[in-house]
Amino acid sequence: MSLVTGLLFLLCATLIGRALLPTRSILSRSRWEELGVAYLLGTGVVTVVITAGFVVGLSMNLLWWLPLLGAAAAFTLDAKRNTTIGELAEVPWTKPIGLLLAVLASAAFLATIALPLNEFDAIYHWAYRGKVLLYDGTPLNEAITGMVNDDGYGRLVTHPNYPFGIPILEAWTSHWGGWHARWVQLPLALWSACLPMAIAFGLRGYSTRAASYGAVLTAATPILYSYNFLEEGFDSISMAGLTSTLTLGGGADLAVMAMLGVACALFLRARQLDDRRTAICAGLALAGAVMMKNEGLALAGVCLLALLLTTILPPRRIRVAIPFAAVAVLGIAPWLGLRAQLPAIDENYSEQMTVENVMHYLGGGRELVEKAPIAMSGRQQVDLENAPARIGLVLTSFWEEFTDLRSWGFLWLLLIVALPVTRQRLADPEARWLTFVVLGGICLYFLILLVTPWNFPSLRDKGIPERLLVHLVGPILLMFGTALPKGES
Amino acid sequence: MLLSWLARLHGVFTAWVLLFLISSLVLAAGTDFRADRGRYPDSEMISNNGRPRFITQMFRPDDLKNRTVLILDAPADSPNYIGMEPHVVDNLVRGLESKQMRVVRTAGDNPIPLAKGADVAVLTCNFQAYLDVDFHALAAQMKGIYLFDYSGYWDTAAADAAGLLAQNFARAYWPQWLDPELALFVDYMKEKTSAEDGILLVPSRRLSTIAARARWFLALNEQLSPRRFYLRNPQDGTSFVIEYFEWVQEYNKLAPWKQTKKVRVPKRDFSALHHLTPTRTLAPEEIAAAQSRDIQWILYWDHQADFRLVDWELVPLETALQWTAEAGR
Repeated sequence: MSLVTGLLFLLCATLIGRALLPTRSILSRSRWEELGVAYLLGTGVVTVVITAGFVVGLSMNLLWWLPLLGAAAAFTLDAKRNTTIGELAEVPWTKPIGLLLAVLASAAFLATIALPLNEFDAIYHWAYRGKVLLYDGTPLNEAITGMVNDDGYGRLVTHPNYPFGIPILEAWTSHWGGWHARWVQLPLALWSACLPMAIAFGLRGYSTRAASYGAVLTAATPILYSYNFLEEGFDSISMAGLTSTLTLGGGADLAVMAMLGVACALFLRARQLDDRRTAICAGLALAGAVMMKNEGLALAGVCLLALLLTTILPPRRIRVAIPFAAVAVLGIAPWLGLRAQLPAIDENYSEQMTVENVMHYLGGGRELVEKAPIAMSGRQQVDLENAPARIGLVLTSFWEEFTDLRSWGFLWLLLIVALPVTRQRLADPEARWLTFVVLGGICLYFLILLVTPWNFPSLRDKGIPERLLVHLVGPILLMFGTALPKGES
Repeated sequence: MLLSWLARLHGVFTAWVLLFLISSLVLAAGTDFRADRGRYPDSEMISNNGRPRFITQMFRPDDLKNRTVLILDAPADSPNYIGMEPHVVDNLVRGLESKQMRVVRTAGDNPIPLAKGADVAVLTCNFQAYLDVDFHALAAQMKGIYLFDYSGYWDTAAADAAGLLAQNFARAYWPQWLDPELALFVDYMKEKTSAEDGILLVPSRRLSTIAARARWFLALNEQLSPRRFYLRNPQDGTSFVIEYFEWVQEYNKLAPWKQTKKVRVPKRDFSALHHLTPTRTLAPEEIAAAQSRDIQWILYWDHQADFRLVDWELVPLETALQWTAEAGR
């Protein structure tokens, strides 16, 4: 039954997202672009609305019906405006490319559900929360809030102030039929499949060639599926899909990536068309990114700051900037309200990000070697005097990522060549905004890792910074698309 | 032109992606679309120097000469099995003999007749005949109950059922939630407790390891949801590995078990090792924590990187309170 509920969610989210989008005559798109964007947008909206519902005290049992009602309303609306919604545009790619994209999308979907939840974060961070929502109906429950008490005893929950986007989707899927460690991943199985469609959609306003390139290049980026594949040689192929280097599955990084990607794509089109409704959709998608993982909040801040910087120079397009920012802030606000009621025990970025801290590490502050697991376990003597500078370690890790072809392909090279350095490119306000988002995102993650209170090499072992940088794949490829000459094949 | 070529270069990675996706799907199909432990790398010896201290410290130094160790090692002419290298086995044997312990090596032979009177049996490799050993027959032959598994392949639940205490000394590379004994225990807990129950987790004694894998309470908490699990200082116990280390240190410093007495239970529901229970009376702060919450059960555990049935005991709160009251009289 959870399989059916999961499939029902895919339908509901797509219908809701489609109903929110402007008509095709205003916002042209092909069927595949529409499906990809609609699903991501609908999913983002569902998580935003249900999070808001928790804040006002509603339970998951009641909130579960909202996507269903929303989808029914969307279906009715769609039937009514069928004549006015307009014709679908042609797909921007050739048939062989379309076939390749379809194969990759289908394989990514199937690979996600090929195994039940099988990763630490997916199980202990997200599935646990999903079960809390399923069984207790709300995150404002002892299962999440009851960790810290005066007598020192409390409930077990990893990082209690993580957002509830992924758990909401899992709990929704489990509403009929109960928890199923495979089928709860159904709503999470389309992130990598939808992003290429969203990128093509975002670049359609530039040229169909940019859209086609954008889709293929996105789908070809290895980290949309896994990172460090075959790092240990060809023999390690037997571990494909099994290790913590898998990005597909029940984790949240691809969710942030997909939501940020579709938010940027929508906002790009909104600015090009000067269309407020599209900007509102972009704001909702950005709020959706915040619902997926803590980093989404920081990235939303980067997007809004980038918008502020972009509007310094004309064309400012305030008509779309304001609804985008306002809707994003309104969508995020309920989560902030909810978060304020949850115990904040660790991962408090804002607390670490002080000028003093940043300057300390920029000035060569040493790595916290005493917090390395081997030092903590007493198996190695701590040598504080010869501890390396944190900044060197973080820079090295970023360099290693930028040159790691098996995880990123040539993505970072594409970013460098797409940087708007000529006057003509700088005159493109969309390229400017995307550049601010991408470079701002990289700087943000660099700073976060620079001031992290943990031992950085331990984080590196756990796939940081790649699991953060993957969030930026969408805007990077949109940026590359904007740099492509319109006539180039 | 440059952009196009770079784009095409990046596009070549579709082949890489396809290789990954197809491999993932085919390999998942090969294990019935389940995450199978067999697909993970083989377990590895934690220590490969063959020092015998884990075995010798089980007994009084003056008693070592009266003890016999059965070494289940591969036949001399056999291909390399997974486990201890032959020279490490030789080191272990020499080390034991230097302590005047009697050593019997099976060298591929049937271990059952050779186990007569053995205090300890040591599995050094994954030789199939050893893995399929009849633990009840082994237990009937052995004088002691200790099994040292240096290859990580023995079924510790089957050993437990035969009244043998298996200790795994190999590092497993499959994730903790795939542990078969954990799955058995989760099923038992589901049967024994109701979904609304509250369970206080109480370490039986000093936390003896800082292995992150020993955080079995994370798996129990998730798999047995919505049952309510309570732990001392969970904000550190469930956080990053560094905080977890601090949690271990803090608990050992606090040492609530020092205020308590060991309790032997007449009958165990799950483990056949009746005299090795993790049960004890409760410290005052544990009683206060249990009584100030809606808690029905105490789950005692011994903190180990390997999930062993013997290390876990679920006891009704009233029983634990009764033990404490009786011990206080």
